[in-house]
Amino acid sequence: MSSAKKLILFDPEGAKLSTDQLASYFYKISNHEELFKIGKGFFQEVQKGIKSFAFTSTGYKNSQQRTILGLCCYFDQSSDCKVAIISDNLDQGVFNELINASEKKSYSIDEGADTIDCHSFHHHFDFINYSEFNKFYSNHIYTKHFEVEVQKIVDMYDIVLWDIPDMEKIKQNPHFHFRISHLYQSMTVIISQNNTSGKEVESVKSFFSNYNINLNGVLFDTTPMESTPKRKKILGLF
Amino acid sequence: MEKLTGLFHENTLIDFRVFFLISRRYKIFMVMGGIVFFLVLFYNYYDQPLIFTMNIPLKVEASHRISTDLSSLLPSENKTEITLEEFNVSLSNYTFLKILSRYIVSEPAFDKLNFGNVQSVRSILGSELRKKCIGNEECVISNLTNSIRAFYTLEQGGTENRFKITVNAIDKNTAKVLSRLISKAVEEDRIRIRQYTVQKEINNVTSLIDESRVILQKMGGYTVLQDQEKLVNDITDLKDRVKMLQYNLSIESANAESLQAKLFENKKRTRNGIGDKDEYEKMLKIQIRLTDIKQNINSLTHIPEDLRSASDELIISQLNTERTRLLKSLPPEQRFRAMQIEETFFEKQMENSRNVEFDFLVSKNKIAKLNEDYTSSQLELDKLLKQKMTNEGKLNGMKADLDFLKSLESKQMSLKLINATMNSDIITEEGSQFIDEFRRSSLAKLAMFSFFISGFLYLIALITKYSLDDKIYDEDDIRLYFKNLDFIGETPTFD
Repeated sequence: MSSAKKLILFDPEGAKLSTDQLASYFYKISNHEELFKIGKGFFQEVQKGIKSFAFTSTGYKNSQQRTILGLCCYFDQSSDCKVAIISDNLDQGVFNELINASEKKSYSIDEGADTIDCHSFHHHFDFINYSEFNKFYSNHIYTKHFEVEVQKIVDMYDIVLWDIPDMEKIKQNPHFHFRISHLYQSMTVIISQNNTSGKEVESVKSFFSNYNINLNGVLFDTTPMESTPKRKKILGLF
Repeated sequence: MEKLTGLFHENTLIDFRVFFLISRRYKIFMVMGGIVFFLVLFYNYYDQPLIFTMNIPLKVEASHRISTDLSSLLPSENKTEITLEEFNVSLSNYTFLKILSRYIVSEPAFDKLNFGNVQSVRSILGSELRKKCIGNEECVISNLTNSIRAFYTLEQGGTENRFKITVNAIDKNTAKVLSRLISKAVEEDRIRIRQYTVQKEINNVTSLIDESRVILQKMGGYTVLQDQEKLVNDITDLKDRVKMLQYNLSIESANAESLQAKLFENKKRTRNGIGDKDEYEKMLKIQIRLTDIKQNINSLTHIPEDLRSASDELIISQLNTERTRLLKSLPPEQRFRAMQIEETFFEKQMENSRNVEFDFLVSKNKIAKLNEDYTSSQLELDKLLKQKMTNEGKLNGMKADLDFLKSLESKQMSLKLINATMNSDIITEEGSQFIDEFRRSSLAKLAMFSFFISGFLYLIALITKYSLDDKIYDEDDIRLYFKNLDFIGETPTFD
């Protein structure tokens, strides 16, 4: 466990902090056993010293966010880790509801020259947008200052979960993502079972290998299959 | 390539687990395989032409031989044995096929018969064959001869001397007609084959007869035989003539003697007159008896001496003795005394005497002539008998050749009789006229074939799809594609 700030369960006035909202997400999860399985795996990585986990996919952004959220719920339930979620799409998807219930705060960086805004959800997690880092990066393109300052922010957390943008977005700003990718210690790709081809995964893998990032694990995203209404199988087979 | 090698297993060669997995993954191919199976099965089954088949039961009949008196046919002790192979060869013989083809072409319904091969689907009507040959019948027969063998097969029947011909055709009527004509052709062919052997023998015997006749001709045997035959006939005729002459001579002699006696007495009576009536009657009785005796003696002496028996000689002797006695008992002047009773009778007797004299003279002339004829005939008969003996001597020298020739001629006759009465040793038995129909390949056989075809195609399709499909379906695929990637699990789903 890092020396990051512990979770505060009670506010200074003594009021109990509401965890119902987060807990509600936890209890909405239908495949708890899978969550526990993957959460345990990631937690073992954390215990080994890996704290920065990146998540990408072959076009399943929503799954990335759900996975990150699910892991957050797991970490919230099983440990007192401080978690940061860095995403480029905080206004949409599953993060949106939590963002709306979050408290906005700022980190001062570069000795107060710049700030990074984040949204703190009841002191459970902090949501930081990629754009905040990008804004800082634009002022420190030619210096190593960017990495140092971002590292300082990352060090404030026990676990950092990176919701990596789409490859198309990355390609629009490759230098920034290249420099920030140095902070990714582990990368997991989320693919769709029965839909994603090996070529797609290979393209993701080769893309990130150009950033000197190797994919470590694969998660199957089952949501697209489940979202379609199931039809009655003919003869139980077709 | 790695994907394909994933299908194999080091122990079981094929990794059945993977095959099972990919079969479940691509269920649609299983469905398509099933559809292909049924399509291939039903297409091949119903595409086959319906074959009509009919059986002809045949039986080998016992052979016969001619009886020694050539009057009847008797069953032979040695039964004719025809093997299946032999019979099969004769049914494939060109001559037999030609006979059969000739019968078929002569059939009135030939144009409507279907000569399509049971192996192929195409039907060939008789009218098409005729058209192809521009109406030339020999051409049609020749074409049919080359193809007709395929329409029937031969099998052994229930026993050793029974066979079964199975006729197959793609048309019901054709099967019926062919069955009938094949039976007919088989019987004709068997007669021909059997007659061939006999005819050969006849030819051999005939040539031997000709040779023997030539030899006999050279030896003059025929001439001698003909002469001998003529001689025998002439001798027979001559003997009859001699007998007849002898008989006539005897009769005439008796007649002449009678006339002579009458004449003498008439003359005497005219000189001496007639005695009393009792004496007349006694003389008349004696005269009548003398006449009877004379006739009997003549009848007996009419028989040639070499043919007379001892009793005949005895009778002749007795009759002569009686005759002599009776003649002695009557005085010559009293012989015709009874005839002198009436005077009118005397006149009549004078008249009669003149008639009797005339008759006597005529009879004498006849006797002279008959004697002459008899003598010449006897001489000629002797001559002919001598000639006959001479010929017999000559013929004895040629006896062996003549006997041989006779045997040959007898043999030739019996062979000709056999040839003329020859019949088929194979007959068609009464059988059911039921025509069965079937298709060349059974449903079960085609099902197996279809199964292999569809199974093979299914496997090919499955393997192709598997090798070309690079979608990731499960952990195994991840391990297969990305050895360095770990499968972590599934993403959490929210209700």
